[in-house]
Amino acid sequence: MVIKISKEKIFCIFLISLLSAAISISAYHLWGADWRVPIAGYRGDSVGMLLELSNYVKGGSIHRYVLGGERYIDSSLGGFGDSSIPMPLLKMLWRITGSVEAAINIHAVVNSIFLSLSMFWVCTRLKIRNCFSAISGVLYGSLSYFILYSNTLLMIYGICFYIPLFCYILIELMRTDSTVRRMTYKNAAFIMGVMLYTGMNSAYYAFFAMILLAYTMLYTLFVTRDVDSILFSFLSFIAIGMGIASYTIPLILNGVGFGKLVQRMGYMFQAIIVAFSVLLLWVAVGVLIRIRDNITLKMAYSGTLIMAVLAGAAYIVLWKYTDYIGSYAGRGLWDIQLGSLKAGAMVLPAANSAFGLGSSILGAITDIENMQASDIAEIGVVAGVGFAYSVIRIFQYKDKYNDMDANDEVLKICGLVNAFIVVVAINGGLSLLIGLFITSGIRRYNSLCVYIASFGLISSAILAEMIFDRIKAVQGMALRKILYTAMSAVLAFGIMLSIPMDFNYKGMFGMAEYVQRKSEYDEWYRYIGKIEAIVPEGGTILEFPLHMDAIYQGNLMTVGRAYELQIPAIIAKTTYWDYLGGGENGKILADMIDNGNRVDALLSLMCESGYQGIYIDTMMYNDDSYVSLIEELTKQLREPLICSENRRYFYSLADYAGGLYESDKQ
Amino acid sequence: MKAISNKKQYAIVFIMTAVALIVYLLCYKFRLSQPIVLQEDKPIDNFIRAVALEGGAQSGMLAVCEYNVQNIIIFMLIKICGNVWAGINIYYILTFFMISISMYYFLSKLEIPAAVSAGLSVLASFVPFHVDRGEGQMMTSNFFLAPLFLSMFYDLVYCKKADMYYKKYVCLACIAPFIDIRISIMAIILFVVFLIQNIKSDFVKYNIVYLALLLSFSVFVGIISDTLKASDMELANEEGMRILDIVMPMRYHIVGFLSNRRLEYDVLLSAHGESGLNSLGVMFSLGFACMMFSLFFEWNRDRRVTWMGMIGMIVILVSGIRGIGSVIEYFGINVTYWSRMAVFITVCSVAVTGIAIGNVYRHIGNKYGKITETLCGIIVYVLFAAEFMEFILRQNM
Repeated sequence: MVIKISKEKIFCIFLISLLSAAISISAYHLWGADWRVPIAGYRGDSVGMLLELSNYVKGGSIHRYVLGGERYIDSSLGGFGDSSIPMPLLKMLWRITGSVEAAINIHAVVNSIFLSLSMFWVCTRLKIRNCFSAISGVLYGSLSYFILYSNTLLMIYGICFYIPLFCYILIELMRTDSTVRRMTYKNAAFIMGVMLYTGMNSAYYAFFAMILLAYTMLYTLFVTRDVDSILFSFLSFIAIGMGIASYTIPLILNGVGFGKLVQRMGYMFQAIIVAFSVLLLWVAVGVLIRIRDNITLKMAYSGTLIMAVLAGAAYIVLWKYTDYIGSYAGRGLWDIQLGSLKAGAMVLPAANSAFGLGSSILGAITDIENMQASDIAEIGVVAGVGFAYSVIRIFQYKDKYNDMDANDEVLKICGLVNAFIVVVAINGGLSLLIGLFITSGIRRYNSLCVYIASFGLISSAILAEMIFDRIKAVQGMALRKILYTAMSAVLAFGIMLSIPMDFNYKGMFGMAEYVQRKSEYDEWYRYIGKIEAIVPEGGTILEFPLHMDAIYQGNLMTVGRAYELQIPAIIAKTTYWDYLGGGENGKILADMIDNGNRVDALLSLMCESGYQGIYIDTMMYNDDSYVSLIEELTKQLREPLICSENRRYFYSLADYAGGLYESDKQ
Repeated sequence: MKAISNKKQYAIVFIMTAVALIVYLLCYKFRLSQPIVLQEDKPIDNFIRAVALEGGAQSGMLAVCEYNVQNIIIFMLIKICGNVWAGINIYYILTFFMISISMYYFLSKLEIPAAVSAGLSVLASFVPFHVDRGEGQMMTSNFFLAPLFLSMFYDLVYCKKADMYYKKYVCLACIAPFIDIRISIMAIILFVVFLIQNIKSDFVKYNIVYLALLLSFSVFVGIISDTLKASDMELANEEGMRILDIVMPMRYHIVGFLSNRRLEYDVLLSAHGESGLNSLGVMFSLGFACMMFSLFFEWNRDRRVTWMGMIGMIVILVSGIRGIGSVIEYFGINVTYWSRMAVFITVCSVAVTGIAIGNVYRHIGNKYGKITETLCGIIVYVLFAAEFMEFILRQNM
């Protein structure tokens, strides 16, 4: 198969890549800076991402935690699950740069390019002019939501270049004149590939994709009534489900006593599930292609009915006999309400847009200085105009007054899906019913804005094309030129309002300017380096406090500093760090501290447990109980190694353990 | 009622409304000099607060009345009766008739059988949007404007009857802002949406006049009246509409189980705003659901239902909590209580319910004859009576 790409398209691809990279490099202040300094600093959930990558590059996996030493090697960290897809690419970047921080920073830039190219491709597939497709592409890659939030803070929500492809598939399944939905191997490979990847990458997007797919399936059943579309909708559900299974099956097996097997296989286990899924889907597609001519609409309806009954039965079983249905991990309907989508924010300018345009309206409607997740869900003015326009165009039919062309149909479909997303995701919408009857585990429905942005930008591009064509038909060269100029000016203004030019380095989750981040980065490496110079290679250091006060931890979380104890594990090269509470002796150690036992007894137990050092981060205490601990430790051990902020203390247990060994020998 | 003249049909609607109203007033132990329904913990119209709760107006009559026709009428009624609450009550009672008559006008435009339309029109005047807000939010009693605006949109937009100027709609565009500026702004938003929707056709050329009139008079009222001058962005963000409120059981539902569920819902989600008063009751909730399904699944058999679903969708988009209404609010159009835009959803839901019941009623009449049709009519009216009871009988009576 030879793919022909025109020169114009190649130029567009080059330009889009360049612009997307330039925008993200500029927004993240990476130009002329040390690329190893994390964009988000060691703040918030970005610490989790760095930790996961550190674990991965040092030979760990979801079910094999290698950063804490032998005692945690069998640990299965639930947080590392649906975010493992970008790991191979990140590892490659780590090999090139030698730094996990640099790998993640580069990935943020590369991700913007992927997102842009994906959107560009979708627009060109919908026969939109290259220039408008390119603009849509760049805008999607530079979406406020990605730049300011998911690219750095929660990367699993950033790696979603497949979302425009998913949206494109929905459009093709819903439109009347589509070639993609014909049941052929080529189409099936594309659709199943996207769906499987959607399921594999992020539980959130996969869940949302299933909601949208459910709507699409009902639409194909009752409106388009096309057998191929119905079959593809079914297969898509299965493909997404298999994608989700790729990281949930290992977790389930780990929970029911097959932990060793899962650990031994690591990511290979996921790869096998994916390979099996591909095989199964391929067989299913092969069978369907063979019997396609015999499948009637009636059979499709019957099949749907049977599937619905089976799904209902499965739901009843899950509801009656498991705790999967309804409230999940302490998350309730209130959390869903907090994370709901703000429809008004969909038409707002991006935060930190060029020249601060639109910042006052943004400030009035969202709490930009103290952002919570739902306040970051902005898609910019251009996508917002497309979003609003598509919803306005949902009521259109081909009749004596209106002549609907392919673009009108795409607009209508975009509008219908956008409207459906609004009905589901807004405050007091159907998301509450989903939370009540299915799961409240998925609580941030504002993340659906990435789907709205896709449909919105497609609609904007079509709108721009329609205006362009109208101007083209205007008589008179001079007037035409004036109109083109006006259109360009409006578009340029819209673009300026839609792209964040600066990462929000104040207020939000305690993120700091480059100078501060650089100094923190240097200090961490200097301090951990000094510790590693003292502690023998392979030694384990126990971190204090062993347990954090939950309310205090919550307070630290709002300023992005709840995970500070995990940072040494990211940075360390030759040592292991135990921030998880002391392993099997953790409870005894904690009780000893709480009950004010003698420090020498505590130290003896720690030496017995195999620790080579004690690390205390005073910021993680909600009271001053560390003061007496430090005093006692300083008496028993030598002077601590203190960081430049006088906040972190390190005591080596080498001499103390040696003393114990000697006394035991005597 | 097919054979009955138009005037008589309206007279019947009037009588039916009167009967229903008597039942309602008896249930609420009506006294002319005492408020019928007033919740002082909820927002109260400036005018009602000034004349009834704060002991009369300090400044001039027009200023107190906020240059609003309704307030002026109430003011005059108060003067005639010599008692504040008597004047307010009389006007409040009149609003039931205004709503049922205007609703009947809209439903008859949709060619719903007159017998069904009459019952639904009466029911529409007792929806929680009207009776639960009561006299504290007398301004919302102007929801008789919504069926009139929808009639205008139906004629001009849906039926494309735009080849001539209709005096009645010109009058509506000129007078509506003086009756309720908020509902007029909401109508302008819908009108703009229709203009964008039909930009390719001649629609714009013919209909821009109505929009221009409505817009001009709204701007005029906005300038002279204080109604839209108080900017409260935070309140506007909170007072948005919630979809679930529409289909949830109404507050203090007579059925204990439903009342408790509603209370749990309000407490759990802190749903104490005005939006909670948008409940539609069982029958009209079905109409709402039907309308939205029709929109999302393009029910082509009767596109009017889909069209009304589209109106419902625009309302949700604009007036939802922190919806596009918040953006409009930022530009100084201080509607604040955006959840009141749900009145258009209410009217559309009633209409869709009417279309559905009307189709069944007509079908049975055509297929099984007059007697079966009468029987069907009786069943429909039993349903209406049950819905009426659901609306007026509450746990907190």
